[in-house]
Formats: sequence, structure tokens, C-alpha cells
Amino acid sequence: MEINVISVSKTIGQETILDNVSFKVNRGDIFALVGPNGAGKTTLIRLILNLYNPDSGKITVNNVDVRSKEYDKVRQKIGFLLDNIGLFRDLTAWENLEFFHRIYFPNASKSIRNEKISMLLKEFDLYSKKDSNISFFSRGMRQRLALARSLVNDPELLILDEPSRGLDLEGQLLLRDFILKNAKQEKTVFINSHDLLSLQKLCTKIAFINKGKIYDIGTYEELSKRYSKNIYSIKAKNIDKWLDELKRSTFVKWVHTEFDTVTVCVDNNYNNLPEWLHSRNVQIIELKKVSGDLEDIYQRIIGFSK
Amino acid sequence: MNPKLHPLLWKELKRQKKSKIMPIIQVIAYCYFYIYLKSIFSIEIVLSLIPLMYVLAIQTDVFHYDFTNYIESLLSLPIEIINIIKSKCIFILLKAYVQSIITTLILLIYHVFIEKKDMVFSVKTFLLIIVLPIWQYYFSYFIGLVIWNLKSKIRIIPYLFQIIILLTCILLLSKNMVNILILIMLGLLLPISIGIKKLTETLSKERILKRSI
Repeated sequence: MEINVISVSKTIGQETILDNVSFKVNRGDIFALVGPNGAGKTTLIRLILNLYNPDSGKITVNNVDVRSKEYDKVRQKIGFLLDNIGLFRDLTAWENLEFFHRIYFPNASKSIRNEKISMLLKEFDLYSKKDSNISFFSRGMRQRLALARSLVNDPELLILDEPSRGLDLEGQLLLRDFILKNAKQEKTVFINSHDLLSLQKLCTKIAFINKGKIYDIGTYEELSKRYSKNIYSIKAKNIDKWLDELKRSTFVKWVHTEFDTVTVCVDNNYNNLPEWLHSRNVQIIELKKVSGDLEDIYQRIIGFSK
Repeated sequence: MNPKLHPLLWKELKRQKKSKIMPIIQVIAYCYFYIYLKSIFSIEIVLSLIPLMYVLAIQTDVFHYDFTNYIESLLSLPIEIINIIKSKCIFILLKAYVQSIITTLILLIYHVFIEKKDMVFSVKTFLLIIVLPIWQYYFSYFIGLVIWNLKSKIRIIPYLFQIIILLTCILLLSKNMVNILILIMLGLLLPISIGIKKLTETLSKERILKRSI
């Protein structure tokens, strides 16, 4: 399935949540939407699911307008995990999956339904808890059950809002496998997440969103080429003596400090950082250009504060 | 509606199966209510009012249940909001009438075997028993739409509506004005239908979601 977002704007109250947003997600893409809290990511998901109406613009999924009647047919093939997990606390793990299966396949036979639910519970390591009420589940277990639920309708498009939230390391590895396995089956995966390390490894396309605008979009390799040119890693003594001056310098885009290492991003045309450091008598232990990971690119695009 | 059990109805049944204590308390309370007030109300009045009393107790919980963090998932599914509300109405009536039958049996046993009194059901009372569930379905449907559409967080609205109806019923039945009650109920069906139509036209997932989260 493909998603086409065309010049979509959305205002809630006085606040502009999305401002003329456009992008395309192709069939089979693992597409990540990255941005800080309040950037408009969840609103965009709600628009794709036709829970909100855009003020202007249009969203199509498989060339069907999400606001049209025909969208209900397309919706049959969309699996989702939303910010509020949305599992029914008074039902067991099995009953939760059965409810959603009944919605999507009301005429399915009992044996087919049971087979599907058993398979999903086993896949997400929850079969032994199938008859437990989910109010006794940990956040991670609920998240796994919600992931299982997102597959109940054999979706062609998976929409995952913060899927790694509450997952332990094992759960995160399970999630990574889950996404890759689905992508291999030509399913489109749309993810909102803050887990940049996983996104870098998984995603075929990444879009950066902030204050309702898409800042940039591309593959990790493309973004890395565009944004990692002028990032330096400086390992030095007495950082405190010169760090503030560096931060205030006009050629500096952003600075990130960790122990005795300073990562600094400078303007594209600025090549004199070594000279600047020498002129301040900085005792450099190591100075090197770094190829930025997704976190660096994020800081560069979204604007990690100086 | 699918001829098979609707998934939403199935979900409610599963949920309510786990809460057995409340219905038992309701049945005991209603039986006690009759035994305590038998000098004021006749058994016929009490029996005809049972479903209304139970609907009052059940519908607020059922209509409000989804207004927590499930609502977003529920609205994202390929089902119409109107079908969610309709299935809730059907569930409310089913549960109210199942409880009513049990209560009626207990009260009849008490009335006939312990009190050793006769039952005299007039044609009018039978007519009332037929009109009540139909009327109650539309009325619950209307209340469901009010809750989902207008102000989902105000729980008092359905109570107020239903208490007014209940008090009117008690007043008219205690004065043996069954015909007038039936006429009022039938007469109210028109404005209720108009209300249902208007509220259905303005149902919006966005508004429901904004009020629930």
C-alpha cells in the first residue's frame, strides 16, 4: 500500500499542528516520521486513519481518499498500534485479539479464528498468558499484545505510533524482527518513533518533522550525505574554559557534550575549526570529522540547542 | 447488523460476564424495593417498571465505557460510529430484560405463593409491556447519541433524562393512567426520531476523539 500526503494543513484551536505537509510513502517502504513531542506526528497518523479531517489538502491510501466511503475497504487492510495502546482492560489477551478478529472477519469460522489468534499469541510470546486479564500485564506485555493485534487482519499497511515504548531489550529486538519480517512481505510500515538507533537500522525512508512542517526526507544514506559534512568530534582537556565561547560562535550550528568529548556542527562554509581551537590554546587530545548517525542528523535538522 | 453476534455485542457480553455482583445487587435491591413499598405500588406497576429501572442502571456504564484510551482504536476500525451506538442499545435492552425476567419471576413467586394474591393484568398493562421495549430502544439510542455526540464527559445527562421519564411513569401508573402513559410514549417517539436524525447527521470522529483524550 502507498500513502500520499498532499499539502495537508491542520489547526486545532489556535495552534497550527500541520502546515502544508506533503510526502509519499511507497509500497514496501519502512517509513519513519521523526520529530520532537508536539511536532505533529500523532495528528498526522490520526489524519491517515481518518480520525481527524484536514483543514486543507488531501491524503490518499492506495489512491483512495481517506475521507471517502471507499476508504473503509482500504481500512480492512490497515493494522495499527496507536499511542494509547487501546486494549480492553476487562478482557483477556485472547478475548482482545478475538474482538478485533471478529470486527475484521465477522464470518470467519471458529477454527480459523482460533488458529490465527493462537499463532499471534505464540509469535509474541504471550500464549501462556492467553487467559489472563490484561489489567495484570506489564506495559511491555501490553505493547507486545498490541503489536499482535495490529496483525490480526493480515494488514498490507502497518501504522505504528511509538511501538518501542515500554519494551525491554528483548521486546525491542522482537519489534525489530517484527518490522523487518513484515517489510519482507512487501508490507508498508509507517513508524513514529524516538528510537533513532533502531530507525537508522530499519528504515528505508526517514522524514523529519517539527512544528508541523516536514524539514527533510530521504534515505539514511542521502540524509547522511547532506547533513554530516561539518560535524567534528573534539576530545580535549579543560573543556569548560572554551566551551561557552564555542557555543556562542556564529559559525556553530549546535554543540553536544558528553564527558570530555564535544561534538560540534559548524556552517557548511566554515573550515577553520582547528585554527579556532589552536588560537584558544585548547589542549586537543583528538580532533576528527565524524560521519553523523541519525541522532546527529536529527540534531542538525531539528536544531539541537546550542 | 450481521446475522451472527455483532463483535461489539460480543465484547460487551464478555465484559459483563465478569461483573456478576452488580446485577445480583440490582435484582435484590429491586425485589426489596417492591416488598418494602407494596402498600403504595401494585405488583402490575412494579413489573412494568422493572425494565426502565434496569436500563437506568446499565446504560450510563455501557455508553461511557469506551471513552477512555480505547476510543482511538475503536474509531480506527472499519465500523461506523452509529453501529457502535446501536449495538450498545441492543445490549442495554437485552441485559435489562434478562434481569427483568429474573426479577419478575422472584416477585411473582413472592406475590402468588407467599402473599397468596391474584394477578390481574389488564389489556392496557399488556399494551404497555409491548410498547415499553420499543420505546426504550429509541430512547436509549437517543441518549447514546447525546452522550457520544454532545458532551461525552457529562455522565449526568442520561440519568436526568431517564429519571424524568421514570418519575412520569411512576406518577401516571400510580394514578392508574396507563392509557395516557402509552399515548405520551407514542407521542414522544416523533421528537425522539427527529433528535436521532439530527444527532446522527452531526456525528464526528474528530469531536468524539478530542473530547475523550
